[in-house]
Amino acid sequence: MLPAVTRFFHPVLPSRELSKGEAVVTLAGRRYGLSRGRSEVGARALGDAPPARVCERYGYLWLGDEALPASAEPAIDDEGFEHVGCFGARFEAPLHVAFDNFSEDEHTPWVHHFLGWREADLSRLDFRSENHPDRTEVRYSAPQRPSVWTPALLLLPGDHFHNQWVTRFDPVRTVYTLHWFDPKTRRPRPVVSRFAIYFVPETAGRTWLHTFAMARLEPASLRFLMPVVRRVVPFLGRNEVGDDARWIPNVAGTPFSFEGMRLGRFDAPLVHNHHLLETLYWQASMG
Amino acid sequence: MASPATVGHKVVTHRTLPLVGALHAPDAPWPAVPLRKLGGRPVKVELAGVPFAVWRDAKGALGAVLDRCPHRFAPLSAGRIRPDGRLACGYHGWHFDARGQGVSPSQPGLTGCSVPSVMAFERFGWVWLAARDAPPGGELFDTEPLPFVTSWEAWVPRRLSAVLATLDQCPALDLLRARLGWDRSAAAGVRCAREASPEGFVERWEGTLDRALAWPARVPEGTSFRYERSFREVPLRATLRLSWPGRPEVVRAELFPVPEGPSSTRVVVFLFAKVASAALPWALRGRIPALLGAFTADPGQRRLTPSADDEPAFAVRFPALVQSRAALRALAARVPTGVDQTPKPWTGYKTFEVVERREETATMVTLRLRPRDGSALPSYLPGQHVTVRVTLPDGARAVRCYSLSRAPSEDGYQLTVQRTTRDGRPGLVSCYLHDHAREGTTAELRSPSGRFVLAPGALPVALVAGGVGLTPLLAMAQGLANTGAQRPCTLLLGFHSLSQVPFRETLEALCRAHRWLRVVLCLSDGALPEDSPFTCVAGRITPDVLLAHVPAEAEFHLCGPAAMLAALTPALLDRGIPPERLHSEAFGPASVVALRAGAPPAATVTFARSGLQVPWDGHTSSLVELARNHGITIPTGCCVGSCTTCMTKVLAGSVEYRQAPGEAVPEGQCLVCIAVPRGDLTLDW
Ligand SMILES: Cc1cc2nc3c(=O)[nH]c(=O)nc-3n(C[C@H](O)[C@H](O)[C@H](O)COP(=O)(O)OP(=O)(O)OC[C@H]3O[C@@H](n4cnc5c(N)ncnc54)[C@H](O)[C@@H]3O)c2cc1C
Ligand code: FES
Ligand SMILES: [Fe+2]
Repeated sequence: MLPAVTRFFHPVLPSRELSKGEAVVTLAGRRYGLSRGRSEVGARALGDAPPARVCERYGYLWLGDEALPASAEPAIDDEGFEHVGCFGARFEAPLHVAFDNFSEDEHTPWVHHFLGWREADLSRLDFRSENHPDRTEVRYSAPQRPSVWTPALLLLPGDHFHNQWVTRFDPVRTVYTLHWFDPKTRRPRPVVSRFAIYFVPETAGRTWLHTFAMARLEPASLRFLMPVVRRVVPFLGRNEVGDDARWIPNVAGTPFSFEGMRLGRFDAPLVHNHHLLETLYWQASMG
Repeated sequence: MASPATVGHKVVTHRTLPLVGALHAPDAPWPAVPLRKLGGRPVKVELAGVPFAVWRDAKGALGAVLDRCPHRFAPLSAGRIRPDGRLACGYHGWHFDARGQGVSPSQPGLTGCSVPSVMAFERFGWVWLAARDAPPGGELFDTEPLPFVTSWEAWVPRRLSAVLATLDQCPALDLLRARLGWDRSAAAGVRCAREASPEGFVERWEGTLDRALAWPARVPEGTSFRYERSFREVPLRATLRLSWPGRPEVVRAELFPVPEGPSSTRVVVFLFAKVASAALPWALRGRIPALLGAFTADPGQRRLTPSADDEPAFAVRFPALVQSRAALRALAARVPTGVDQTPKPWTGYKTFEVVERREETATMVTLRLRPRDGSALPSYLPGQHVTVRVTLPDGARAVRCYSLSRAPSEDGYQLTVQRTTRDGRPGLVSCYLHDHAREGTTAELRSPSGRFVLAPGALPVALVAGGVGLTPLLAMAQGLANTGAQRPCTLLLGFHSLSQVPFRETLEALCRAHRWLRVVLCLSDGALPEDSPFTCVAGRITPDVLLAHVPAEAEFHLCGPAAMLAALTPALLDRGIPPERLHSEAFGPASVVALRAGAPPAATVTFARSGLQVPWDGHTSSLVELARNHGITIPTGCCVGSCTTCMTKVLAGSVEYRQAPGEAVPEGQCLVCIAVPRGDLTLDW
């Protein structure tokens, strides 16, 4: 059985999936019945799960210990962005496997349809990562590989992407900010997207990724295009997360320890992440 | 401290994989994959528990490496073949040549990116793997050059030692008897000599045919025959050679039992023959499945040893066989088969949850379930069932059995439930499952059990189902397909109308993919589809219909409503089908009734708690029914001796079972749903 993780609020169900009646969710192997009354949502611990409560934020139901104070309720770093959609995706793999996949971009050219670069552009790939006691920060930038998405995102051929992210562990989540720019002028393109992805362990072998998609358009003169962006950005998010979800069963059995693996430079954040996963996420929950 | 994230997951030591160990001996090749399976994608093949990725590039060059990318351990068999012929990992694109030399495309300067590799070469339409560049090539079967006819592969869900035992035991004798025209009565004239050889041993069998052979040529009765079997350890193989002294024909089979892992083996056979007519090798091809059926016999896996009456007699007459057996046991112990990591059956109940629900027909729903703790599941034999305990909306618990409705698969157990009514009332559990089971709904399951599984051997198979009785039989048909045995099989299904037939697409696909499988649909509303790969018949399944579509020497497997079994069983017995070839399962207590036989013993049954004493009259099917007839309700679940809900203490006397309990019954207890008294009996009720 996994250690309990309810000392942090975790997103467990999109609000739209509980319009009335009861839904059963599983978090770290413990089951809860969520129900919507006339005014609010309630959580009922099933089996031997400890009592819990729910709060509703950003279009999601979040589950945490009954005693958690209001100050522990979730806050997504969304300053300057508009929320454009949220969705869950099931990963048939343990938490660390799904999480590792989202902690590097090295796989994107092979696993994804849109994200990533062409092998020929590798020399122009810029990668940095920084380890901090409570988080990791990572940045990738390279020529965006051509795709049918390019016009929908108001990009021009030859544009570079810039993907920068911060991972924290209370609970496990990463906020990716992805934008594109013209490599000559370094001027950004109008669409800036942000995805906050929460990695939520359902059981030892299954993980849910709950994603909050956000976007902004600049300059203000282009805001009339926002209705398009509101559709394109979540659609893109769903597709790319779907690519990862389809691949993940192939590596579901890989061990937590990196022993014996020939790690490369893009794996540096993964090693630090595992350390923080153990000390900040699992261990703290057990203590 | 162990990382909590690895809880419930296989932790494999990845440091040194015994690559060469998997290949048994450095210069001894194993047949790994038929060449025709190598298209534009790599293929995974397991040898002694070690996975390899094998590929062939556009120019035809072969490569074989450990199926694990050195980077983040993704299986290379899930990758792709690059235009330059290298195998690229599907995760981060690291790519490898046939010697395993690797490059990271995103960090080209990174060193130490190689993956262990072995040598791959092609011979007789197969890709062979060996550790060294050593001999093989042309000299693989150097003993006696004969024209190559064909190759064949059978997958046996058994460990190597069990397969070697089968190769040695009954199938070989069966082969002699059935294929060479020698039956038990003629055994006296057969001689067997055995010789140890440097590589293993040789057995020579000689005698005269007691019937004429139609193949590999017309050989008249009375001709003498010679049958040689030799076993060699490196590479592990058996050579079977048939000849008829004074005649030109020779048939030779080279069998390679290849351990796939600790619990499964692939038997690869290469057939060579010299026959008078040039056309005959082609005629022989058609014989291969039958021939192989005799060797690898046991897709159904029940009896891996010869039938009890053969064994001692042959052991006395042919001491050579006993020696061979000991030699093979010793040999099997020396061949690596990998660490046994297969999940074991559990005891008691384990919590599962529904991960998929599919409406199969208007009254049948298919549920796929997986354990809630994410643990890996033990496999099962097609035909077996699970005992399911559910908590009903009113808090009460109920237990029923449901057959696993497909052959074992890694993504959980699958059940298919018919919405049932009994005496006009909705069935408790079936209706609960129909109305309430959704993704996430939990149920408790016992480990798969049951003895209604495919009869082993090479005889044709009849699978006869009425309605939802199809579930275990579908699993059996899929199981047969997985073994590659090509055993002729007829699936006869009785339904009211076409719209009620579940798994139509699955059945159609099976039917189209396998020539040995025929599906016969009996539709009682008489409306037959025009375009269907099935044979369709109007009306119910009757013994006449059955015997019109199934050879009488088949192994019959019947499953369906009690009424169908009650009608078919005696009729088949009347027509001379022996009881040992009649296997059936009723989805309820009828199987007990069907098996009741002989005169009932005169006995008195005492229910101790009430002091009630009643005579055992022999007209009741079980002690549960007897109790019910006298106003005592003993709680039951499955009524077939599987769920142990009805377990009762025996205070005095003893019972016997009309069908074997599906679970071990502790001393002093009994399963009253299937028990009948053996003399006077006192029960704790
Ligand atoms: C080995 C096995 C495999 C099975 N596989 C399947 C399957 O794959 N799919 C499927 O739909 N069903 C299957 N069944 C039948 C299933 O177990 C249930 O019996 C069925 O679903 C009806 O259950 P219920 O609770 O809905 O009906 P209910 O009528 O509420 O309960 C049936 C219970 O009553 C008992 N019972 C039924 N008839 C009588 C009778 N005449 N006299 C006394 N007791 C009786 C049964 O044994 C059972 O305990 C299988 C049964 C067995 C024994
Ligand atoms: S009722 Fe299930 S074993 Fe007897
Ligand atoms: Fe990804």
